[in-house]
Amino acid sequence: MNAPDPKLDAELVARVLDDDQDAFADLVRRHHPAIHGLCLSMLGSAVEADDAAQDAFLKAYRSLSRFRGESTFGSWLYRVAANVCLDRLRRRKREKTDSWEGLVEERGDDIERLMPSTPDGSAALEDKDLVDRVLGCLSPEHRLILTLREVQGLDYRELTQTLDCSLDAVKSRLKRARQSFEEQLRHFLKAGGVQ
Amino acid sequence: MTEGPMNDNGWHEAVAAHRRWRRIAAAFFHAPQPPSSSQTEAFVRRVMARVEPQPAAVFPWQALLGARWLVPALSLSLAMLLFKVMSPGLEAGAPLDTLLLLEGSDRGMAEMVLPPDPAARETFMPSADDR
Repeated sequence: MNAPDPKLDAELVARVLDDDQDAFADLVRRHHPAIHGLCLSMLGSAVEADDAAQDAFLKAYRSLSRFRGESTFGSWLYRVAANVCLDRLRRRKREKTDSWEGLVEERGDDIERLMPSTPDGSAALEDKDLVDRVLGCLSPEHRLILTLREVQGLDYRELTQTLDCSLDAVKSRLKRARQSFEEQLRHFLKAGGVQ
Repeated sequence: MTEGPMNDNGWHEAVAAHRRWRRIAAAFFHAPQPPSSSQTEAFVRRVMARVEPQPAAVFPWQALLGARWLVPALSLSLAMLLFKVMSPGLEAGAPLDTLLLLEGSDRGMAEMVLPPDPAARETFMPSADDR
């Protein structure tokens, strides 16, 4: 995570608390790329990601007086945004019924073509919608930690701050999320010939 | 360095697991395009249009009511109040200065303040021997 300078963030936060709205605009400007990336990776849809990012910034603004500076403003904001995305994914899960079995039956061949034959190779098929539907079959919590690690590139320390849990908890959650996703995809992994 | 068969197997398993996971990550986890500066500026405007001024600092009643120390403190106060109400009236009767005088520090003054003691009056009655 290429976080903006935490010292400058702290100064801007202090100015926002003195009711300087231009300082908050600066904070939004500095952190928009990271928050936009997180929301888009988590939610797939650009429109929903934009909405979620706005909600995250507004929520952060309203609760800024409770920010104690125990972590950097960037990590705290990331946590706020991650929670907004989790809420939206949970709501979506309750409303939508895209089962993994149904998806495999409908587009199993395409899922197979998404998988590169080698770890560094490229896929025969690039289908953003299908990728999003496959990721939508993950639990919101597993999707969050895998996105933070694999897409946003957070290291273990940053994960502990963003998820507000211990290092051991991060390691075990990450392991469980990977195992669960691998288990889901085992049929396609065998088809690719890498075992 | 020689490795036993178990270590060798473990190592191969770890490499295979890593390769499996890298394939999955390559297929499903892609970093999205970062927003352009004009997109960011438009986003900043949208957010700032929804921002209201920071609420003025008010007395934090909520924080105070949520404080954990408040429960035992209130219980203790209530217990003390009940004790006070239900205990027999300790201060009924003579005022404090009278009670202090009764302690015997100034007996003469007590005699002036207090009504005469009937037992004491008896002593002034002439005894049978006197008569």
